Amino acid sequence: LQFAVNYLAYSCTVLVLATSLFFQYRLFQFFDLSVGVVFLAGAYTFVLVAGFDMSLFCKIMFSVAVAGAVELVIIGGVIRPLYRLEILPLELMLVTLALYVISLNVFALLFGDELYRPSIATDSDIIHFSSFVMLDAQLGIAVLAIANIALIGLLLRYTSFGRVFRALSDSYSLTQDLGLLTLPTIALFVGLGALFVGAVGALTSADIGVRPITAFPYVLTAVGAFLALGGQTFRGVVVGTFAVTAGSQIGGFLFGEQWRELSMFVTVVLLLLVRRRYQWSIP
Amino acid sequence: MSEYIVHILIQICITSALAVSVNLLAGYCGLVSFGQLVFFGIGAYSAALLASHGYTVVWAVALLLASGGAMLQAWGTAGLKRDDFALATFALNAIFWMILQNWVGLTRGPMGVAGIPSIELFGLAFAGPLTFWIIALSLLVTCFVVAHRLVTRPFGMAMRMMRDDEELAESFGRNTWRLRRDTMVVASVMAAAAGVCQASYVGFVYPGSFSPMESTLLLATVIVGGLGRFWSPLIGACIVVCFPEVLRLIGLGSAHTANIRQILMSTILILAILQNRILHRRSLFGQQER
Repeated sequence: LQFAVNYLAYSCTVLVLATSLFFQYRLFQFFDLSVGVVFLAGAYTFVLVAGFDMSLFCKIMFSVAVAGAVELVIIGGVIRPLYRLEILPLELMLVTLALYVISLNVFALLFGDELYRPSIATDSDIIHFSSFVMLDAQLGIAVLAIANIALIGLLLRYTSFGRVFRALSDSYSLTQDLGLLTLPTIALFVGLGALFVGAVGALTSADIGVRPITAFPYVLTAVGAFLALGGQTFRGVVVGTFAVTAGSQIGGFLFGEQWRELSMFVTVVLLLLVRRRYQWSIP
Repeated sequence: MSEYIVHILIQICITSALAVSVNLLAGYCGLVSFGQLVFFGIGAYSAALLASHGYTVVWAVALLLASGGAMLQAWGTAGLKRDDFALATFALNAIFWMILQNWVGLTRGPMGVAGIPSIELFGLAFAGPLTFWIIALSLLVTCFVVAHRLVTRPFGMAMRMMRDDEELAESFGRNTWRLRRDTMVVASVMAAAAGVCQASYVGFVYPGSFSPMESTLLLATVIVGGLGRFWSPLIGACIVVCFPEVLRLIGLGSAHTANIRQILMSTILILAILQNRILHRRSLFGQQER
């Protein structure tokens, strides 16, 4: 059962990142690797405010606000202007990768390479169940992921923003020509994605601590989860995430924790091969 | 020449040779590959593991492994679009890095392999920096000669055609898959040879040198010099190798030099993409539009 709890916390973290990647890919047709920057911004802000005299909720909200501001700068200052210049998706991906590398090194310069972990006693209490234990940060991540699925699912399915999002996914320029609300829709989905990533960064920091390289395995797994089932629908991203993380956890369980990430890659490759062979996708 | 200068020159030669292989793929074929560091690593670890156990077939094994790996890479990435190809090779690099870190029984994991003996070629041992300089320079000259022969012949024209418009290249009867495969094999052999030299010269290899972040730095090295230009790898390598030394000379060298170097190179990567797009209205990686 403890294994299942750890799997759940890991999957939920990856799901939140994969959702953010999904938004960026559907809106701008590229892999936004700068999602790692937003994650680190949330995580390190939480480390900084962990010692402040305020409630845990306020600390997380403050971290989320900083992460949102970072995303705003990246989207408004870099991605959208470049997209308007008709930059290639490959170049956009490289720019975001470079941004991630810059941020990683800036955090390393500011905080060092070592693990920062806010005091568990004050920030993340252990909840004892009959046959397993769970940190409240892990519980928070799980709640966050459920809220993420519910909110995004409802927005995409039942609101006009969801329709504009789908229109933007099909053709950015046509949606603009039709006079649909493109900017608010982009702001809503990208902003939501960033806020969730910032929050999950803060909670991960409370759960296992943070170091500059912490975001990297999560981002890699999220990209794999996004790709595994085609990344065309939000449902596909959710199913893909749980499939890929299950593969990685089982690999880690069978062959040792150190092979967990490699098992993730193997799972993604297997899923891609199956999809290619049977032309199968999540509707 | 002092040993210090020779050391810098050797590093420039090895980095240039590796950068030539990246330039062949990214600059001439438009295939942004993060996988070249994998082949560099295959060469380095082949030298480390074989030479440490007294085997003398380092070169043959390293180059064969790299060629085989490149064939597999070409087969596995056939038909992928450019951004998907970049992502696939990035994943390949990440997988390789994880294997190096976690397969402790073979690679000694994060501790790395130390005490790698110097290279031997035709029975001659190249032990000191001055004698090793001959090997490094020969490697660089060979890589540039091979690259020159490739890019100035019809093969090179087909590479550039594929970079600018893959469909057009196919409609002119070029087999683009074969073109990709052949270029990957040549580039991987160059990278592996550079890896053998590096491991043998430094005498130590560890996984951190082959991380995906280092791959980004390598790509930036070629872009700094001017992607797709013949001498760009040499110019880029001079900047990358000399930058930490310059920092040290002006008294700014510290434990953070590597971080500063990565920040600088990543910034240059962004600026190069912006400069091409804003000033020249074209892509850094060929003329195809979205």
